[in-house]
Amino acid sequence: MDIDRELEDLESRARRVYGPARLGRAARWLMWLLRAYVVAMLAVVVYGFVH
Amino acid sequence: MAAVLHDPAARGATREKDLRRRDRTRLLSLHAQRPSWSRALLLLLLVAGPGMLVMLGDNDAGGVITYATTGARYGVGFFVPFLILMIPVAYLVQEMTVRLGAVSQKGHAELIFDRFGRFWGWFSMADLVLGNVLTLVTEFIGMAAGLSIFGVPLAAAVLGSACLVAALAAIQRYMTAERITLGLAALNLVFLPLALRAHPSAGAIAAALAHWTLPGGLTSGVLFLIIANVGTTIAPWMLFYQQGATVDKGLTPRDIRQGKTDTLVGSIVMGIVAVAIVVLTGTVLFPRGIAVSGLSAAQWAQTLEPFLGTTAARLFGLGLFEAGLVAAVTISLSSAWAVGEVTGRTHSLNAPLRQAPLFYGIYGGSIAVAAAVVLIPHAPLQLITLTVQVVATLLMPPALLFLLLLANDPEIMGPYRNSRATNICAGAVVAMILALSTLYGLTTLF
Repeated sequence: MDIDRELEDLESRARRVYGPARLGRAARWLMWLLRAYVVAMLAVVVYGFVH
Repeated sequence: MAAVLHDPAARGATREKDLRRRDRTRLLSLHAQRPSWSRALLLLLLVAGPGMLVMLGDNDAGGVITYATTGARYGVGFFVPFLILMIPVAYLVQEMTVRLGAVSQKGHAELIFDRFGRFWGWFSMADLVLGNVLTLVTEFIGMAAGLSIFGVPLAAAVLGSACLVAALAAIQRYMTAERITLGLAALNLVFLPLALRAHPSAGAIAAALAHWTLPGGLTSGVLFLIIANVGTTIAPWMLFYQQGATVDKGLTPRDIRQGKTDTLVGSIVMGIVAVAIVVLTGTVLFPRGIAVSGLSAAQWAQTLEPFLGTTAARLFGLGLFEAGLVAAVTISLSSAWAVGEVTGRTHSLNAPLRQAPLFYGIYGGSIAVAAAVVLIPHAPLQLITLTVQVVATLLMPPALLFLLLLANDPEIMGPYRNSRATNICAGAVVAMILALSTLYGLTTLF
Protein backbone atom coordinates (compact mmCIF):
# COMPACT_ATOMS: atom_id res chain seq x y z
CA MET A 1 0.00 0.00 0.00
CA ASP A 2 1.50 3.36 -0.92
CA ILE A 3 1.45 6.39 1.33
CA ASP A 4 -1.36 8.18 -0.52
CA ARG A 5 -3.68 5.20 -0.26
CA GLU A 6 -2.80 4.70 3.40
CA LEU A 7 -3.48 8.34 4.25
CA GLU A 8 -6.74 8.21 2.32
CA ASP A 9 -7.71 5.09 4.26
CA LEU A 10 -6.91 6.86 7.55
CA GLU A 11 -8.97 9.89 6.59
CA SER A 12 -11.94 7.83 5.50
CA ARG A 13 -11.84 5.94 8.81
CA ALA A 14 -11.71 9.26 10.71
CA ARG A 15 -14.59 10.71 8.64
CA ARG A 16 -16.85 7.72 9.05
CA VAL A 17 -19.83 8.44 11.30
CA TYR A 18 -21.08 5.45 13.23
CA GLY A 19 -24.76 5.51 14.05
CA PRO A 20 -26.18 4.41 17.38
CA ALA A 21 -24.93 1.00 18.45
CA ARG A 22 -27.26 -1.93 17.86
CA LEU A 23 -27.28 -3.40 21.33
CA GLY A 24 -28.30 -6.90 22.25
CA ARG A 25 -30.62 -7.61 25.16
CA ALA A 26 -27.75 -8.01 27.66
CA ALA A 27 -26.12 -4.76 26.56
CA ARG A 28 -29.46 -2.92 26.81
CA TRP A 29 -29.83 -4.19 30.38
CA LEU A 30 -26.30 -3.06 31.07
CA MET A 31 -27.14 0.44 29.84
CA TRP A 32 -30.13 0.63 32.17
CA LEU A 33 -27.94 -0.58 35.03
CA LEU A 34 -25.44 2.12 34.14
CA ARG A 35 -28.12 4.81 34.23
CA ALA A 36 -29.34 3.50 37.59
CA TYR A 37 -25.74 3.47 38.86
CA VAL A 38 -25.10 7.08 37.88
CA VAL A 39 -28.39 8.26 39.44
CA ALA A 40 -27.75 6.26 42.63
CA MET A 41 -24.15 7.50 42.91
CA LEU A 42 -25.25 11.10 42.37
CA ALA A 43 -27.83 10.67 45.16
CA VAL A 44 -25.15 9.18 47.43
CA VAL A 45 -22.74 12.03 46.59
CA VAL A 46 -25.36 14.67 47.39
CA TYR A 47 -26.24 12.85 50.63
CA GLY A 48 -22.54 12.54 51.52
CA PHE A 49 -21.83 16.20 50.97
CA VAL A 50 -24.96 17.38 52.81
CA HIS A 51 -24.27 15.23 55.88
CA MET B 1 -3.30 26.86 -4.32
CA ALA B 2 -3.41 30.65 -3.95
CA ALA B 3 -6.57 30.32 -1.88
CA VAL B 4 -4.81 27.86 0.44
CA LEU B 5 -1.86 30.23 0.87
CA HIS B 6 -4.14 33.07 1.92
CA ASP B 7 -6.59 31.14 4.11
CA PRO B 8 -5.03 30.53 7.57
CA ALA B 9 -7.39 27.64 8.38
CA ALA B 10 -6.59 25.89 5.09
CA ARG B 11 -2.84 26.48 5.67
CA GLY B 12 -3.19 24.93 9.13
CA ALA B 13 -5.00 21.89 7.74
CA THR B 14 -2.29 21.50 5.07
CA ARG B 15 0.43 21.66 7.72
CA GLU B 16 -1.34 19.02 9.81
CA LYS B 17 -1.67 16.81 6.74
CA ASP B 18 2.00 17.29 5.80
CA LEU B 19 3.16 16.34 9.27
CA ARG B 20 0.97 13.25 9.28
CA ARG B 21 2.25 12.28 5.84
CA ARG B 22 5.87 12.64 7.03
CA ASP B 23 5.23 10.49 10.12
CA ARG B 24 3.34 7.83 8.18
CA THR B 25 5.96 7.69 5.42
CA ARG B 26 8.67 6.89 7.97
CA LEU B 27 6.57 4.13 9.54
CA LEU B 28 5.41 2.75 6.21
CA SER B 29 8.96 2.47 4.86
CA LEU B 30 9.94 0.51 7.97
CA HIS B 31 6.91 -1.77 7.69
CA ALA B 32 7.85 -2.43 4.06
CA GLN B 33 11.48 -3.41 4.79
CA ARG B 34 12.68 -6.99 5.13
CA PRO B 35 12.10 -8.21 8.73
CA SER B 36 15.17 -7.88 10.95
CA TRP B 37 15.92 -7.16 14.58
CA SER B 38 17.11 -3.62 13.88
CA ARG B 39 14.03 -2.84 11.79
CA ALA B 40 11.73 -4.26 14.50
CA LEU B 41 13.48 -2.20 17.18
CA LEU B 42 13.35 1.00 15.13
CA LEU B 43 9.69 0.43 14.37
CA LEU B 44 8.95 -0.11 18.06
CA LEU B 45 10.88 3.03 19.03
CA LEU B 46 8.91 5.08 16.50
CA VAL B 47 5.49 3.72 17.49
CA ALA B 48 6.24 3.72 21.25
CA GLY B 49 5.01 6.70 23.20
CA PRO B 50 1.28 6.63 23.99
CA GLY B 51 1.61 3.44 26.07
CA MET B 52 4.76 4.52 27.93
CA LEU B 53 3.38 7.99 28.64
CA VAL B 54 -0.02 6.84 29.84
CA MET B 55 1.61 4.40 32.26
CA LEU B 56 4.30 6.76 33.53
CA GLY B 57 1.70 9.55 33.72
CA ASP B 58 -0.31 7.18 35.89
CA ASN B 59 2.57 7.11 38.41
CA ASP B 60 1.58 10.69 39.20
CA ALA B 61 2.23 12.77 42.31
CA GLY B 62 -0.81 11.29 44.07
CA GLY B 63 0.28 7.80 43.03
CA VAL B 64 3.81 8.30 44.42
CA ILE B 65 2.36 9.39 47.78
CA THR B 66 -0.11 6.45 47.79
CA TYR B 67 2.71 3.95 47.14
CA ALA B 68 4.96 5.64 49.75
CA THR B 69 2.16 5.53 52.34
CA THR B 70 1.46 1.88 51.51
CA GLY B 71 5.09 0.85 52.05
CA ALA B 72 5.52 2.91 55.23
CA ARG B 73 2.35 1.46 56.83
CA TYR B 74 2.46 -2.17 55.73
CA GLY B 75 6.00 -2.88 54.51
CA VAL B 76 6.68 -5.03 51.48
CA GLY B 77 4.77 -8.09 52.71
CA PHE B 78 1.50 -7.84 50.82
CA PHE B 79 1.73 -4.90 48.47
CA VAL B 80 4.81 -5.82 46.40
CA PRO B 81 3.15 -8.92 44.89
CA PHE B 82 -0.15 -7.03 44.75
CA LEU B 83 1.37 -4.23 42.66
CA ILE B 84 3.03 -6.78 40.36
CA LEU B 85 -0.46 -8.23 39.84
CA MET B 86 -1.64 -4.78 38.77
CA ILE B 87 0.71 -4.83 35.74
CA PRO B 88 -1.46 -7.19 33.62
CA VAL B 89 -4.58 -5.40 34.87
CA ALA B 90 -3.33 -2.06 33.51
CA TYR B 91 -2.16 -3.72 30.27
CA LEU B 92 -5.47 -5.51 29.62
CA VAL B 93 -7.50 -2.33 29.92
CA GLN B 94 -5.16 -0.01 28.04
CA GLU B 95 -4.42 -2.44 25.20
CA MET B 96 -8.05 -2.18 24.10
CA THR B 97 -7.69 1.59 23.65
CA VAL B 98 -4.74 1.04 21.26
CA ARG B 99 -6.83 -1.21 19.01
CA LEU B 100 -9.87 1.05 19.20
CA GLY B 101 -7.86 4.17 18.31
CA ALA B 102 -5.85 2.57 15.52
CA VAL B 103 -8.85 0.91 13.87
CA SER B 104 -11.49 3.64 14.24
CA GLN B 105 -9.21 6.72 14.07
CA LYS B 106 -11.53 8.22 16.69
CA GLY B 107 -11.00 9.05 20.35
CA HIS B 108 -12.88 7.40 23.21
CA ALA B 109 -15.25 10.34 23.82
CA GLU B 110 -16.16 10.54 20.11
CA LEU B 111 -16.97 6.84 19.91
CA ILE B 112 -19.10 7.02 23.06
CA PHE B 113 -20.91 10.03 21.56
CA ASP B 114 -21.44 8.24 18.23
CA ARG B 115 -22.48 4.85 19.53
CA PHE B 116 -24.21 5.52 22.86
CA GLY B 117 -25.76 8.93 22.29
CA ARG B 118 -25.34 12.57 23.18
CA PHE B 119 -26.12 12.11 26.89
CA TRP B 120 -23.29 9.66 27.54
CA GLY B 121 -20.97 11.62 25.23
CA TRP B 122 -21.46 14.89 27.06
CA PHE B 123 -21.59 13.19 30.47
CA SER B 124 -18.24 11.44 29.86
CA MET B 125 -16.61 14.61 28.56
CA ALA B 126 -17.90 16.90 31.33
CA ASP B 127 -17.08 14.43 34.11
CA LEU B 128 -13.63 13.81 32.62
CA VAL B 129 -12.78 17.51 32.29
CA LEU B 130 -13.98 18.31 35.83
CA GLY B 131 -12.10 15.37 37.33
CA ASN B 132 -9.00 16.20 35.31
CA VAL B 133 -8.86 19.85 36.39
CA LEU B 134 -9.15 18.80 40.02
CA THR B 135 -6.52 16.08 39.56
CA LEU B 136 -4.26 18.69 37.98
CA VAL B 137 -4.45 20.66 41.23
CA THR B 138 -2.91 17.69 43.04
CA GLU B 139 -0.24 17.41 40.32
CA PHE B 140 0.75 21.04 40.82
CA ILE B 141 0.90 20.49 44.59
CA GLY B 142 3.23 17.54 43.89
CA MET B 143 5.43 19.54 41.51
CA ALA B 144 5.68 22.44 43.98
CA ALA B 145 6.48 20.00 46.80
CA GLY B 146 9.21 18.37 44.71
CA LEU B 147 10.78 21.72 43.83
CA SER B 148 10.54 22.94 47.44
CA ILE B 149 13.26 20.39 48.29
CA PHE B 150 15.54 22.49 46.06
CA GLY B 151 14.48 25.72 47.80
CA VAL B 152 12.14 26.95 45.04
CA PRO B 153 9.34 29.11 46.52
CA LEU B 154 5.73 28.00 45.97
CA ALA B 155 4.69 30.74 43.52
CA ALA B 156 7.81 30.33 41.36
CA ALA B 157 7.45 26.53 41.38
CA VAL B 158 3.78 26.60 40.36
CA LEU B 159 4.17 29.29 37.70
CA GLY B 160 7.37 27.72 36.32
CA SER B 161 5.74 24.27 36.18
CA ALA B 162 2.64 25.70 34.47
CA CYS B 163 4.83 27.40 31.84
CA LEU B 164 6.75 24.15 31.23
CA VAL B 165 3.54 22.13 30.79
CA ALA B 166 2.10 24.79 28.46
CA ALA B 167 5.36 25.01 26.46
CA LEU B 168 5.10 21.31 25.51
CA ALA B 169 1.82 21.95 23.70
CA ALA B 170 3.08 25.23 22.27
CA ILE B 171 5.50 23.19 20.11
CA GLN B 172 2.42 22.32 18.02
CA ARG B 173 3.98 19.08 16.85
CA TYR B 174 2.81 15.75 18.28
CA MET B 175 6.02 13.77 17.74
CA THR B 176 8.33 16.43 19.22
CA ALA B 177 6.11 17.01 22.25
CA GLU B 178 5.83 13.25 22.80
CA ARG B 179 9.62 12.68 22.59
CA ILE B 180 10.38 15.52 25.04
CA THR B 181 7.71 14.30 27.48
CA LEU B 182 9.12 10.76 27.19
CA GLY B 183 12.58 12.13 28.06
CA LEU B 184 11.14 13.87 31.12
CA ALA B 185 9.17 10.75 32.05
CA ALA B 186 12.44 8.79 32.22
CA LEU B 187 13.04 10.65 35.51
CA ASN B 188 10.32 8.39 36.96
CA LEU B 189 13.13 5.84 37.18
CA VAL B 190 14.90 7.84 39.94
CA PHE B 191 12.87 5.79 42.41
CA LEU B 192 14.86 2.67 41.40
CA PRO B 193 18.30 3.86 42.68
CA LEU B 194 16.50 5.30 45.71
CA ALA B 195 15.01 1.90 46.52
CA LEU B 196 18.45 0.27 46.10
CA ARG B 197 20.02 2.92 48.35
CA ALA B 198 17.63 1.84 51.10
CA HIS B 199 19.41 -1.57 51.00
CA PRO B 200 16.24 -3.67 50.92
CA SER B 201 16.42 -7.25 52.09
CA ALA B 202 16.24 -9.57 49.09
CA GLY B 203 15.06 -12.30 51.48
CA ALA B 204 12.13 -10.16 52.70
CA ILE B 205 11.05 -9.40 49.15
CA ALA B 206 11.37 -13.07 48.14
CA ALA B 207 9.35 -14.05 51.22
CA ALA B 208 6.70 -11.46 50.30
CA LEU B 209 6.43 -12.94 46.84
CA ALA B 210 6.32 -16.50 48.16
CA HIS B 211 3.88 -16.07 51.07
CA TRP B 212 1.88 -12.95 50.18
CA THR B 213 0.46 -12.35 53.64
CA LEU B 214 -1.17 -9.28 55.14
CA PRO B 215 0.41 -7.87 58.30
CA GLY B 216 -2.42 -7.78 60.84
CA GLY B 217 -5.01 -9.29 58.51
CA LEU B 218 -7.58 -7.60 56.30
CA THR B 219 -8.41 -4.48 58.30
CA SER B 220 -10.37 -1.50 56.97
CA GLY B 221 -7.08 0.42 56.65
CA VAL B 222 -5.55 -2.30 54.46
CA LEU B 223 -8.72 -2.54 52.40
CA PHE B 224 -8.68 1.22 51.84
CA LEU B 225 -5.06 1.06 50.64
CA ILE B 226 -5.83 -1.91 48.35
CA ILE B 227 -8.66 0.06 46.79
CA ALA B 228 -6.49 3.19 46.59
CA ASN B 229 -3.73 1.24 44.82
CA VAL B 230 -6.19 -0.16 42.27
CA GLY B 231 -7.69 3.30 41.84
CA THR B 232 -4.19 4.62 41.23
CA THR B 233 -3.49 1.92 38.63
CA ILE B 234 -6.47 2.66 36.34
CA ALA B 235 -7.97 6.13 36.10
CA PRO B 236 -10.63 7.32 33.63
CA TRP B 237 -8.33 9.86 31.91
CA MET B 238 -5.99 7.02 30.87
CA LEU B 239 -8.57 5.52 28.50
CA PHE B 240 -9.25 8.88 26.84
CA TYR B 241 -5.55 9.78 26.71
CA GLN B 242 -4.16 6.65 25.09
CA GLN B 243 -6.89 6.38 22.49
CA GLY B 244 -6.55 10.10 21.68
CA ALA B 245 -2.76 9.84 21.46
CA THR B 246 -2.99 6.77 19.20
CA VAL B 247 -5.23 8.72 16.81
CA ASP B 248 -3.23 11.97 16.96
CA LYS B 249 -0.01 10.07 16.29
CA GLY B 250 -1.66 8.55 13.23
CA LEU B 251 -1.16 4.91 14.23
CA THR B 252 -3.04 2.42 12.07
CA PRO B 253 -4.03 -1.24 12.40
CA ARG B 254 -0.61 -2.22 11.01
CA ASP B 255 1.01 -0.56 14.10
CA ILE B 256 -1.15 -2.39 16.63
CA ARG B 257 1.51 -4.99 17.44
CA GLN B 258 4.09 -2.34 18.29
CA GLY B 259 1.40 -0.32 20.11
CA LYS B 260 0.64 -3.34 22.29
CA THR B 261 4.34 -3.84 23.06
CA ASP B 262 4.61 -0.15 23.95
CA THR B 263 1.69 -0.58 26.38
CA LEU B 264 3.17 -3.77 27.84
CA VAL B 265 6.60 -2.19 28.40
CA GLY B 266 4.94 0.90 29.87
CA SER B 267 2.86 -1.14 32.29
CA ILE B 268 5.90 -3.16 33.38
CA VAL B 269 7.95 0.02 33.99
CA MET B 270 4.99 1.54 35.86
CA GLY B 271 4.75 -1.56 38.06
CA ILE B 272 8.50 -1.67 38.72
CA VAL B 273 8.56 1.99 39.78
CA ALA B 274 5.50 1.49 42.02
CA VAL B 275 7.19 -1.53 43.64
CA ALA B 276 10.42 0.48 44.08
CA ILE B 277 8.56 3.20 46.02
CA VAL B 278 6.86 0.62 48.27
CA VAL B 279 10.22 -1.11 48.82
CA LEU B 280 11.86 2.25 49.61
CA THR B 281 9.46 3.31 52.37
CA GLY B 282 8.78 -0.29 53.38
CA THR B 283 12.51 -0.74 54.09
CA VAL B 284 13.29 2.66 55.62
CA LEU B 285 10.13 3.75 57.46
CA PHE B 286 8.02 0.63 58.15
CA PRO B 287 10.51 -1.27 60.39
CA ARG B 288 11.10 1.89 62.46
CA GLY B 289 7.36 2.41 62.91
CA ILE B 290 7.54 6.00 61.71
CA ALA B 291 4.06 7.55 61.47
CA VAL B 292 3.31 8.95 58.04
CA SER B 293 -0.34 9.85 58.55
CA GLY B 294 -1.06 13.38 57.37
CA LEU B 295 2.41 13.95 55.89
CA SER B 296 2.35 16.54 53.12
CA ALA B 297 4.04 15.76 49.80
CA ALA B 298 7.02 17.97 50.76
CA GLN B 299 7.40 16.32 54.19
CA TRP B 300 7.99 12.89 52.64
CA ALA B 301 11.46 13.86 51.40
CA GLN B 302 12.27 15.41 54.79
CA THR B 303 11.17 12.21 56.54
CA LEU B 304 13.47 10.10 54.36
CA GLU B 305 16.49 12.45 54.58
CA PRO B 306 17.86 11.40 58.03
CA PHE B 307 18.06 7.77 56.86
CA LEU B 308 19.16 8.14 53.23
CA GLY B 309 20.94 11.50 53.08
CA THR B 310 20.40 14.81 51.31
CA THR B 311 21.03 13.49 47.81
CA ALA B 312 18.37 10.83 48.21
CA ALA B 313 15.89 13.40 49.54
CA ARG B 314 16.59 15.55 46.49
CA LEU B 315 16.13 12.58 44.18
CA PHE B 316 12.77 11.94 45.84
CA GLY B 317 11.87 15.60 45.24
CA LEU B 318 12.94 15.28 41.60
CA GLY B 319 10.83 12.15 41.20
CA LEU B 320 7.83 13.86 42.73
CA PHE B 321 8.26 16.85 40.40
CA GLU B 322 8.53 14.62 37.33
CA ALA B 323 5.52 12.55 38.42
CA GLY B 324 3.37 15.68 38.60
CA LEU B 325 4.78 17.16 35.39
CA VAL B 326 4.22 14.16 33.09
CA ALA B 327 0.77 13.56 34.58
CA ALA B 328 -0.13 17.24 34.07
CA VAL B 329 0.76 16.96 30.36
CA THR B 330 -1.09 13.69 29.76
CA ILE B 331 -4.16 14.62 31.83
CA SER B 332 -4.54 18.05 30.16
CA LEU B 333 -4.21 16.43 26.75
CA SER B 334 -6.90 13.87 27.53
CA SER B 335 -9.29 16.75 28.37
CA ALA B 336 -8.39 18.70 25.22
CA TRP B 337 -8.84 15.67 22.94
CA ALA B 338 -12.16 14.68 24.55
CA VAL B 339 -13.65 18.18 24.21
CA GLY B 340 -12.51 18.43 20.58
CA GLU B 341 -13.95 15.00 19.80
CA VAL B 342 -17.38 15.67 21.30
CA THR B 343 -17.71 19.18 19.85
CA GLY B 344 -16.36 18.14 16.45
CA ARG B 345 -13.66 20.86 16.50
CA THR B 346 -10.04 20.34 15.42
CA HIS B 347 -8.17 18.47 18.15
CA SER B 348 -4.57 17.68 17.26
CA LEU B 349 -1.15 18.56 18.64
CA ASN B 350 -0.07 18.86 14.99
CA ALA B 351 -2.61 21.62 14.33
CA PRO B 352 -1.53 25.23 14.66
CA LEU B 353 -3.14 27.34 17.38
CA ARG B 354 -5.33 29.35 14.99
CA GLN B 355 -6.84 26.15 13.60
CA ALA B 356 -7.50 24.52 16.96
CA PRO B 357 -8.22 27.33 19.46
CA LEU B 358 -10.63 25.20 21.52
CA PHE B 359 -8.13 22.32 21.80
CA TYR B 360 -5.27 24.55 22.99
CA GLY B 361 -7.73 26.63 25.06
CA ILE B 362 -8.88 23.59 27.05
CA TYR B 363 -5.26 22.44 27.49
CA GLY B 364 -4.00 25.85 28.63
CA GLY B 365 -7.17 26.71 30.54
CA SER B 366 -7.01 23.51 32.62
CA ILE B 367 -3.41 24.26 33.54
CA ALA B 368 -4.15 27.90 34.38
CA VAL B 369 -7.14 27.03 36.59
CA ALA B 370 -5.27 24.29 38.46
CA ALA B 371 -2.18 26.47 39.00
CA ALA B 372 -4.36 29.35 40.22
CA VAL B 373 -6.18 27.11 42.72
CA VAL B 374 -2.86 25.96 44.22
CA LEU B 375 -1.79 29.58 44.66
CA ILE B 376 -5.01 30.57 46.45
CA PRO B 377 -4.22 30.75 50.18
CA HIS B 378 -6.24 28.25 52.24
CA ALA B 379 -7.76 26.60 49.15
CA PRO B 380 -9.98 23.63 50.20
CA LEU B 381 -7.46 21.02 49.07
CA GLN B 382 -9.05 18.21 51.09
CA LEU B 383 -12.40 18.87 49.41
CA ILE B 384 -10.65 18.86 46.02
CA THR B 385 -9.01 15.47 46.70
CA LEU B 386 -12.38 14.10 47.81
CA THR B 387 -14.16 15.46 44.75
CA VAL B 388 -11.50 13.94 42.43
CA GLN B 389 -12.34 10.52 43.83
CA VAL B 390 -16.07 11.03 43.62
CA VAL B 391 -15.87 12.24 40.00
CA ALA B 392 -13.64 9.29 39.06
CA THR B 393 -16.10 6.91 40.74
CA LEU B 394 -18.92 8.34 38.63
CA LEU B 395 -17.01 8.14 35.35
CA MET B 396 -15.12 4.88 35.76
CA PRO B 397 -18.04 2.42 35.28
CA PRO B 398 -19.45 4.06 32.12
CA ALA B 399 -15.99 4.57 30.59
CA LEU B 400 -14.93 0.96 31.24
CA LEU B 401 -18.21 -0.62 30.15
CA PHE B 402 -18.27 1.47 26.99
CA LEU B 403 -14.67 0.41 26.36
CA LEU B 404 -15.68 -3.27 26.55
CA LEU B 405 -18.75 -2.76 24.35
CA LEU B 406 -16.76 -0.77 21.78
CA ALA B 407 -13.90 -3.27 21.71
CA ASN B 408 -16.51 -5.94 20.88
CA ASP B 409 -18.34 -3.85 18.29
CA PRO B 410 -18.00 -5.72 14.97
CA GLU B 411 -19.01 -2.66 12.93
CA ILE B 412 -16.12 -0.62 14.34
CA MET B 413 -13.51 -3.26 15.09
CA GLY B 414 -14.08 -5.86 12.39
CA PRO B 415 -11.39 -8.54 12.77
CA TYR B 416 -9.69 -6.55 15.55
CA ARG B 417 -12.50 -7.01 18.09
CA ASN B 418 -11.86 -8.71 21.42
CA SER B 419 -11.27 -12.45 21.42
CA ARG B 420 -13.22 -14.63 23.85
CA ALA B 421 -10.14 -15.00 26.08
CA THR B 422 -9.61 -11.23 26.14
CA ASN B 423 -13.28 -10.72 27.04
CA ILE B 424 -13.10 -13.19 29.93
CA CYS B 425 -9.93 -11.56 31.36
CA ALA B 426 -10.99 -7.99 30.63
CA GLY B 427 -14.53 -8.65 31.93
CA ALA B 428 -13.13 -9.94 35.23
CA VAL B 429 -10.74 -6.99 35.49
CA VAL B 430 -13.49 -4.48 34.69
CA ALA B 431 -15.83 -6.07 37.26
CA MET B 432 -13.07 -5.91 39.90
CA ILE B 433 -12.22 -2.28 39.11
CA LEU B 434 -15.89 -1.29 39.12
CA ALA B 435 -16.51 -2.89 42.50
CA LEU B 436 -13.34 -1.47 44.05
CA SER B 437 -13.65 2.03 42.60
CA THR B 438 -17.27 2.22 43.81
CA LEU B 439 -16.14 1.04 47.25
CA TYR B 440 -13.31 3.60 47.21
CA GLY B 441 -15.69 6.42 46.32
CA LEU B 442 -18.11 5.40 49.07
CA THR B 443 -15.40 4.95 51.73
CA THR B 444 -13.93 8.34 50.82
CA LEU B 445 -17.34 9.97 51.23
CA PHE B 446 -18.42 8.26 54.45
